[in-house]
Amino acid sequence: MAGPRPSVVEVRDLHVDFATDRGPVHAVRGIDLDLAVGQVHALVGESGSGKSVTGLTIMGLTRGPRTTVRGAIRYGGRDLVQADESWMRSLRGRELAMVFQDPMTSLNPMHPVGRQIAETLQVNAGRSRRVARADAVELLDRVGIREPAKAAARYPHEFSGGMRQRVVIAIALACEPAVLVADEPTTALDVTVQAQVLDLMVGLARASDTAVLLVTHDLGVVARYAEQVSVMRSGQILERGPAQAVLGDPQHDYTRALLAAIPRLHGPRRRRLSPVATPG
Amino acid sequence: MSPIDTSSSVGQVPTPQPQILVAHDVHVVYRGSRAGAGEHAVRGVSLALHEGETLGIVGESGSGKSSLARAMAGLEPIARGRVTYRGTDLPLDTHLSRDVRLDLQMVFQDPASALNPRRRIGAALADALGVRGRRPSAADVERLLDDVGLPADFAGRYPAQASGGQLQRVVIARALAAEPTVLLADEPVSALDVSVQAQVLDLLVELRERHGLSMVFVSHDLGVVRHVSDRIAVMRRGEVVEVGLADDVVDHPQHPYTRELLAAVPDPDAYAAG
Amino acid sequence: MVTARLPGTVADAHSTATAAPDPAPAPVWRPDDEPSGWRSWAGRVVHHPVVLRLAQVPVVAFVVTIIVFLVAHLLPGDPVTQLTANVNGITPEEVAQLTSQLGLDAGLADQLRSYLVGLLHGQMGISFYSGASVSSMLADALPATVELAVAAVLLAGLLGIVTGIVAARTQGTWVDHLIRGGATIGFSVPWFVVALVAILVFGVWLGWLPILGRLPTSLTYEPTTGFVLVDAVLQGRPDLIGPWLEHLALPALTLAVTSAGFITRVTRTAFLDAQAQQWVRTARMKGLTESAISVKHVLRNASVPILTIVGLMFGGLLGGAVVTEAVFSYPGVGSLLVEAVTRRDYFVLQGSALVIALMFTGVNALVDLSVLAVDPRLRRG
Repeated sequence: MAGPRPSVVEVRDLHVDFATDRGPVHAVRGIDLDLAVGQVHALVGESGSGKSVTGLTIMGLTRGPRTTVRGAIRYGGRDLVQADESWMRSLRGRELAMVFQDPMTSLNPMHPVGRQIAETLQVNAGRSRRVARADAVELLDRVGIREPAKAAARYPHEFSGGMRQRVVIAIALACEPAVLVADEPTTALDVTVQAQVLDLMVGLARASDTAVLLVTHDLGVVARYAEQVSVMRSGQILERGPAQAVLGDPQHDYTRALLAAIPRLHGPRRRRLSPVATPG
Repeated sequence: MSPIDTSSSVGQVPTPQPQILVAHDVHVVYRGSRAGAGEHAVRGVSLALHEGETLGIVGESGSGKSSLARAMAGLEPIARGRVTYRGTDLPLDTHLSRDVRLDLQMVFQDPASALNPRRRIGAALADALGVRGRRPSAADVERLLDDVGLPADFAGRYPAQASGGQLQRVVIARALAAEPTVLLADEPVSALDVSVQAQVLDLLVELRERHGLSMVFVSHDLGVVRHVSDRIAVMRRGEVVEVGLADDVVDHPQHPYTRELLAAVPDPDAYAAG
Repeated sequence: MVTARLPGTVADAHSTATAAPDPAPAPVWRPDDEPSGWRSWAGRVVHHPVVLRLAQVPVVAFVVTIIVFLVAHLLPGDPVTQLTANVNGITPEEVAQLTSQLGLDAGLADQLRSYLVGLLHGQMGISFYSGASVSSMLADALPATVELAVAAVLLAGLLGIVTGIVAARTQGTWVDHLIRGGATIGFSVPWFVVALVAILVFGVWLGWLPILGRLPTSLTYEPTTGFVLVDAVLQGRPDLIGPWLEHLALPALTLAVTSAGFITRVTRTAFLDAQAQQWVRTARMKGLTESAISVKHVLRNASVPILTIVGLMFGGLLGGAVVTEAVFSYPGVGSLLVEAVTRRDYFVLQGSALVIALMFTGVNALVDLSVLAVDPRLRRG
């Protein structure tokens, strides 16, 4: 592997709190994170760990009257936490992009697919409608959708989940952003499709030197695609480092328990997957 | 049955046991709403579950695995073919006799929708216990909760006050209350976090041994299926493409689809070997 | 197919299927999907949702005709009684003669048959009172009702949708609460209370607006199409428009105010629902401004429930129009219908009811078709 790559995003001591009817929720409680050019950094955790909130906050999509964000997210010489909304909006789509979990609802059912891709090119790359539509067809081809010209005129409900997610990836990577946040991008897909879509997404990202924050709960995915990994629980990062090191020789009990909890395909079966502990 | 010891008894070659629940050339068809849009979910599947074994059925979406499991549990009408339980045919229209219905219990993926949100957990379990004829006492409910590793005070809680993993235990408890011989589980852990998933899987394995259950375990997760199953059937688009001993299927896959499935599952130890 | 031997032996069969051909996949679009041949084209036309939907209109009209016919004839009393009520010394023979003259001595089935046959030839009968043909009476009255209904729908729609969007965008603030409260009051108050209050306040006390009729009696108006706005242009008579609007104002506003509240609430909910959808998050991720998102991604999706409700309300509006016309002495189809019922003027009654039914089903068909146009998911497949 090459030497350490420069960091594109530096997260320092990030705190994210939500004011809810039942009191404040401390979703992220002081984390540090670095995203390097052209590398995949996996953020691993179970539900409630704060991993999705972290990704959304980097994109500035958690902003609202009930949200408090403290700490720093350094990108391009500026702190995204302090940046105003219009600056964030100019970054979104262009330099910061996101892929969401559920392909069934990520696309507007009333617009043809090509138009939804063209939209990001029009807004962020200033292309005319005609040029953007043509580029959209090319992007559809690049994400592996057959007969892209015909496909561009079709609606999302006419595609399978895997194909929809490819469209979403096309939208996200259309302007060759510096950062891609992928929030459980394949969790809702079949396992054979998962592999294809992740191969595609990571492949395209690496080709354009895009730094990827891959939010996932799946340690297998981490092993296959990530260079760096941070393990998150209850808003904090318990362990971080090169994926090889963290998975091969986990230091924290939680990481070890997570690895042990996954039943393996080969080798002797273990009697218990979970540690003997108090139930419930 | 192999003796219970500290190493897992799953996957060892079992001494031949009688077949307890058998699907013979089963077809399940869903009628569509518009002209021509029907679905042939299960296309002539023949599979046998032996006494005391766990049969894993693995496949992706559209494989028909859930439809097959429901048909074998007598919950889904069968268009063609038949399912026999202990040698007797199950009625094709799902109107099972009460005894058979209690013998074949099914557990599904989403525990929250399987429980009445307005009834306390204890009440739901008491109902389930009462189904075999006797009047359940609080002690009976407590014992049942203990069986699935939940404390006695859970009886007073409502489903909304329990986590996903706890609710799945309650659902399993409810299934056990009917004293079934066969437990069919359709993606019972797919909606749970990894660590909770592990706990519930361990529980299922333990319960299976304690109660001598035969089990059909349906999942899209090959690793999970392999962990609990003696034999595995791989399904694709309504058909079984491969079936055999769990380790045989996983270590020596014959069908190209099985190989494709195996290759697609990312291995968390892929770096560990380095 | 499957060649697995059911295991019962220790040497378990590890079997696989022979390479069976792929069964037909689920209906996902594939590039080579387009069917061909005239037969499939014909099939597509007949099963086309537009054709199917439009075909419902004459069917509904037919059913309504029969029901209204039966109800009208089953009402106690009959036209002859009504007609001869004030004539002194009329003999039974003269009554019988009048009855057969009006064709009312035939059996019910025969009367129905001849009415339907007449309809097929475009003849709707005549009024027992004025002797005028029903179709000419309707030709005079229908435009007035259409103007009223359209004005009411436009006003209600505009008011309702705008306030609904404002309420959605300011969700949770006092503006939202104020709008919702006003909307609730609007559709809770019985419309005739609103009508009477409007008449009192605007017509009598303030004297701003007229409270009777469609045009001032002093104005001569020779209808060409029957629609005042169109005729004003065609005949070159801009002086008609002012008084026309003044007379239309109170009845239309009365109807609109009571319906707008419901549209407000539906719009607000539809807007909020659409905004919460995941694709809005994708749009935000692309860096679109909030107003661009509202217009391009929220409104179109929200329009489906709004359109549907407005279409349904149209029926209610028509019903309200009938009685509104009575209160405001507005010469529309509703007035015709009310009069005809009182007088048992069968043909006028049936004709008016048929026209109202056609309007209602026609509008709903239009709404359904526009929903189809807006939401591609509802089209074939």
